[in-house]
Amino acid sequence: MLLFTLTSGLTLILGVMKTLNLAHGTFFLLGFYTAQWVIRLTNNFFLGAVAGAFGAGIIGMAVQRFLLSRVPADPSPQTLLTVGIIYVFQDIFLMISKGRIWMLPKPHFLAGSIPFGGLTFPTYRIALTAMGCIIFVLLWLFIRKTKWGAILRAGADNPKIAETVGINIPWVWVMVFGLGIFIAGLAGVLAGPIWGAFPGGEWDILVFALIIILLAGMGSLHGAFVMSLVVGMITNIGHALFPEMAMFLLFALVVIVMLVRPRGIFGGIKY
Amino acid sequence: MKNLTYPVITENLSVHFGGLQAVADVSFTAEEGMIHAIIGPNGAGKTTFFNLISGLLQPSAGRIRLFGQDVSKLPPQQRAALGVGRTFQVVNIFSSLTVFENLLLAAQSQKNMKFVFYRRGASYRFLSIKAREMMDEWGFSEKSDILAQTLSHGDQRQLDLMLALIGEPKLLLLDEPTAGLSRAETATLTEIIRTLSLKTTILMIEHDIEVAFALARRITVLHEGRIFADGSPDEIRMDPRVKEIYLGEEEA
Amino acid sequence: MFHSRKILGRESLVTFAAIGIGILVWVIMPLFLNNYWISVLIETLVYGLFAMGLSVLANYTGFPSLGQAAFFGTGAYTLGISLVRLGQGQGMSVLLSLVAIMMVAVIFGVLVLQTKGIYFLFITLGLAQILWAIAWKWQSVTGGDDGLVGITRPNLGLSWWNLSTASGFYYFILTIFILAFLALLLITKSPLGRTFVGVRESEVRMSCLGYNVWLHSYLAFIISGFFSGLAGILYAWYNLFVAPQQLSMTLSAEGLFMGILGGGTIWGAFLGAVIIVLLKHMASFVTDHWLLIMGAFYIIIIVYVPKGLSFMLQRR
Repeated sequence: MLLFTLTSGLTLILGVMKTLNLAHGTFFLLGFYTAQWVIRLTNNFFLGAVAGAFGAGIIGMAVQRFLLSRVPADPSPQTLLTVGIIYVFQDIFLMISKGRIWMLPKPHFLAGSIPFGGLTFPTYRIALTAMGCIIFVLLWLFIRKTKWGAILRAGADNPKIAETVGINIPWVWVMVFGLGIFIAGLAGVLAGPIWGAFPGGEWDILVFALIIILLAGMGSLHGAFVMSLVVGMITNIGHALFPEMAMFLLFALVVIVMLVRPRGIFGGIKY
Repeated sequence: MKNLTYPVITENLSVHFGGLQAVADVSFTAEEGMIHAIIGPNGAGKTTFFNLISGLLQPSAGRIRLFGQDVSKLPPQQRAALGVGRTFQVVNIFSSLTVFENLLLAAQSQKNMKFVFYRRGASYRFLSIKAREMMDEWGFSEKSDILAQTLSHGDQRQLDLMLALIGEPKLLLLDEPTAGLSRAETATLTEIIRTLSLKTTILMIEHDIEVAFALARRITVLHEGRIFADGSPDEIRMDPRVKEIYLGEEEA
Repeated sequence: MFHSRKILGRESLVTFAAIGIGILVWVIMPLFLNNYWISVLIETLVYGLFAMGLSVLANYTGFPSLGQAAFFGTGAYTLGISLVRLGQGQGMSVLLSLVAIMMVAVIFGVLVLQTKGIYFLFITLGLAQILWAIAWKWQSVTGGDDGLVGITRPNLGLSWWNLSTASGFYYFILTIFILAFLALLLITKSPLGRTFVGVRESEVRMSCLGYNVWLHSYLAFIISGFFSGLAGILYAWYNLFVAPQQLSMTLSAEGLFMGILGGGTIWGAFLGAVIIVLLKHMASFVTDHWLLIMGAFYIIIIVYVPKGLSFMLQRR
């Protein structure tokens, strides 16, 4: 579910703005490190989460506003710009973390576990799953049902025409990017207690997100949701049963999907 | 009985996008060596019709015959090989190449030079000469090394036409050739088209009715994707319904 | 027959100067440099070839790809596997490697050319990542994360050209590079090369002129893959060690950037590679934070000099 949270942001940016934000993993880590800093200071997970998500979101908005928007709408320079951002932050993270792996402490009220049907589930994980679902529903509602969502879809379909109708596309882009990054940062914080963070981690998480999107299709939010579940399951089952093969299985799946339906199972850009 | 080897015959040609029927049940014939104009209000499906003929679009129903051959399933490049040339409403030229290179690229398609990955003397010279001849004919010799994107609009339109012509097509599709041209330029172009029609069958989408009437021997009116009227310029001029659909457009 | 250019125009002057510098730095200086700088030069050649190959696809034909490392890594790994695990000789290994590269090109090309623009970027990335994952996981064959060691350099069997010395090896690489460079120049300036540009500029126009656009794109893809794959072989000989990094997203992105930096021509891609290689080495001399510098460089160039160094040229 965590995967979905992360991937949804990327899908959003990809689908609406047609930008491949490879730095998504970087913002994931950014959320983590920011939250960690705040938690150190305040010992409050919630505050940390808020700081992490918003911190990432704000920096994301700045990136879009000051950097990405200056670049022509070509996929190639945009993507390379995000790579540049990855490098910059990668170095910063290295400085901060000095190469060590860190974890965040679980918030008190979510520690422990809940027995259910004979098995015990860690409360935190359940909360995460719930969170993922909530985000999905919220996003879906936002895009489909609200006025803002309509503006977003208009911008995604045809930015030029949208502009003539009075929609301020540059600001919409900043907002959308910011939202996507916000979610990524949030994912980073939420992942803190379970996965932790280590320098270089942004690439790993990016690979997962990419797999999910490849399987799901580039702009599809439901696809991302479903595929995140699938990927999550495969990874977990894989780790339990065939530790070596989990990744391999995943990639084999990608190959098959690529051969059969290169656009992804839920392919095409649609919301 | 229709001569099946006419340059263009379409039978019940239709295409739709989603819910929109862009071209519906168009059965059309063009005879050889004629200028045949296609007119109609905006959105009537004229460019779509051209796209169907040149192969950029696949029909959802109906057939197309070019020079007697059923081309309905052929991709655009194979239709071009049959001798179809085309210009575009919005010029389609190779912007970052020079005029000369534009023409070379167009010419080499003809001469089996597409895959040559080295510069061979003789055939290359041949292409070069062909390109130069065309430039001379059209008064572009001075502009030969100018980047296509820096040409004036009128020149770009001419280049668009030159690209279509260098392959010596037997069927020429002109999509609004006079759009954006001054009165003088239009007059020149009209003469050029008239000369071309001596050797080529020309299908012309025209928004400028005067030009259409002046040049064409036959006029087809498209409206909402269907053939609305078809006949000689005089017949069309007299037809009150045609005036109506255009008037309707003016009011809108 | 070339149509006339202005003699001694600015363009010709620049060309002459460039060739002069090229000969000075890459042909003459290595005789006097120490091993470290020779290896830097080798890196410029290897990555240069990689970037030049990519340039055919990305810059000439207009299909920027984030998966070019697939060719590089396949070339490098196949050579290594053939030498180390299969115990084959150099000649056979090169052959196997080339075959592998072409297979990747042929297969990936079919999968990938149904898309364009950002889809294309994405799918090429995905496919390259698949190869990366295979390299990473298949430890018995590739050595996984630890990489494949034990690669050896070829022996030309010529008494006057000893590849086991730094400069002997250098001139070997240089020779191959020059041949490849000339081949690429030839191809891009040929009618076929022009069709690639045509595809980039207007696919519609191309197909209405009689060109099979898909076929030409496919050819561009394969040619591009071949040269980048060849660079991978050279890399394996140079580094004597191959790791999953050679199949990474980072490498592909770097190649793309080199092409853009250089302004979109073949020699521009080489220039871009030279700049990046030098930058990396210089930066790590000066500070530990060379990543930061690289990142900043990427950002600055893309935002402020998006057309790269092509201001040096009047066109293309």
